[in-house]
Amino acid sequence: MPRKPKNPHSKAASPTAQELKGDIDRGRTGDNVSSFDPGAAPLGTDDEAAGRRDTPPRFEEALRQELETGRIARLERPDRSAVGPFVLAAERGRPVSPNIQIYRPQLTSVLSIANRITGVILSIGAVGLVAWLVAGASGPRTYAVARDLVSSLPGQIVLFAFTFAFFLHLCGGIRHLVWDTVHGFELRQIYFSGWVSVAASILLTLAAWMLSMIIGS
Amino acid sequence: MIIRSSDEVPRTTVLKRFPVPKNMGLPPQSRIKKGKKWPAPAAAKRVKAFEVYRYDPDSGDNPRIDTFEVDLDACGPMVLDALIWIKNNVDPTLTFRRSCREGICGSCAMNMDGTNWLACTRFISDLDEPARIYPLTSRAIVKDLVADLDHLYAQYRMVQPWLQSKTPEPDRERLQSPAERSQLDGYYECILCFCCTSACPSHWWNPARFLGPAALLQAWRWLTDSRDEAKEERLDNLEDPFRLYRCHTILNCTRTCPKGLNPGKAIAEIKKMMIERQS
Amino acid sequence: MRSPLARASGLGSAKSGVKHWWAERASAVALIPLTLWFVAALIAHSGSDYAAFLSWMLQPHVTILFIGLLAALFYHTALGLRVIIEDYVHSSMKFAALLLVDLGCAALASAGILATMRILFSH
Repeated sequence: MPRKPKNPHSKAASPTAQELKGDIDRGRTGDNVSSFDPGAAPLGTDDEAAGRRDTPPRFEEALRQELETGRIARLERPDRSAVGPFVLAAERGRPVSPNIQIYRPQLTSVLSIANRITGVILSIGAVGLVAWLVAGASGPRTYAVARDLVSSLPGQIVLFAFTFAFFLHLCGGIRHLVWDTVHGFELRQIYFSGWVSVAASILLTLAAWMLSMIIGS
Repeated sequence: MIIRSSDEVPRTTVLKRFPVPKNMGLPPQSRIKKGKKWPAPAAAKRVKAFEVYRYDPDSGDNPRIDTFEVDLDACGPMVLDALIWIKNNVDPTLTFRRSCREGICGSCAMNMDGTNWLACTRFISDLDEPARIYPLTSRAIVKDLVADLDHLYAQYRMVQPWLQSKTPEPDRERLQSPAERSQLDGYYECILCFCCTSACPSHWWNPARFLGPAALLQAWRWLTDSRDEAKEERLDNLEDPFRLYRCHTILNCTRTCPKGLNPGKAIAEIKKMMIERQS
Repeated sequence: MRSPLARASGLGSAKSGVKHWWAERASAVALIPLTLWFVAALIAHSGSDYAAFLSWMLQPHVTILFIGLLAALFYHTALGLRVIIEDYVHSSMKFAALLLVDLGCAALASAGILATMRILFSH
């Protein structure tokens, strides 16, 4: 049961024709966008011609109805800026069939989203790179802070994760560059290159870290 | 491990679906509820369970999943045969599109066990237990397994899929060498079933503005047709961060095409043509 | 109540997009040797101290490669993050997010390059 909207105007008296017209023009009712509507004959003309003064109950009721339709229209108005998956369907009142909720993960989609996730991880790493450089430029003490952070156990785990993300994104990126030359699009090539890039990423990460540990000691 | 053609069903499954909530992101009227169970006739020996997406627009209820037990000895080997058996023997209200029953009309495109394919060319024996039958992914649903394809047809219309010429019509055929004609192979065979577009995650997130693999494959079919004289306009129409460039070479499309076509490759060819006209 | 064709056509083709595509690939190709060099240098300098870090960074070719790495890295990052935001953000937040990415990457690249130059010129 909709709430009876309060008369937003007067503290005591009931609304006048001018107030109702003003609400319509300002777009507070359901059927108009807020713009000036000249109207062939201003609201209230007939009443004036008939010698009727403002009759409060009629305008009270008219204002109540108009504001209520306005409130409902604002609730139902689709978000124009959202053009995501469900707006088109919702406009016709139809449900949308599920997508990521039921679609089978395949090498194609999994490696693709992995490339994107590793890209985002590396973006964060880029910020870290700048921080490390700024620490280095600010003198030996700030550099020591940065170095201790990286050399700590959690720092090394994070660095290991970044290394794996880097090699996965590198191999995925090279796979993409080959596709851009319109090569390697047969399904068997897509799958073969996919598995190769995963294997290469793991091997390169392990090799990098083993080398690092050998050199560091 | 290495899939050689799109009709291969994977032998091992690590994940049947992405580990996300079952109704994640679905607006309220799209959330799926539990439905009815329809047991097989008592005499049936070989029985398979099918979980089928149902939606009745007249009832105003949410979509639901009904489980049908199908007598495999009483119906043909394809998923479409099972659906027809259900409609004839169990629930006549089950609604789905079908026509040729031989994989050429594209009507029965739907999502079976998580991947899009034609019901008439998918073997029941290739499915899980229970089999999961859903409509084409991420489409507005008219009823049960019938998807609203209006928007996809509009996107197809946008690539102007007809021959455009500026020189006057010749008084005989527009000639095309065998080599030129072979440029159309792999693209003209598309049956517009829209399995690929419905499988594309980029089209899930941007259905209004990204044209999708089906429309773009047809766009390439016309771009590569030697008789067409409107390459400039076609490329201008496509060069847009959304219409063409929402494609990130995810390649779900090529993986799922029930005719073995390669939309991913067609789109890569379009991007290559785009670059070629810049330098 | 727009027709399906009107809804699909949207605001028409932007007639642009190739430049972004090319720039993403060009920066990617540049990044392959630059990042591999950087990772190799990190491995080679495992366990070294500030003095070693400085003497490595003060070499002119290292400064040049570092500046190249930072420029290509943040350009590629900005392009990639732009695509991600365009994919997933459809509300009015989209343009704010795109601005943030573009300006943020420019700022970070500048900071990194300035830090590199500072190391070079104060030693």
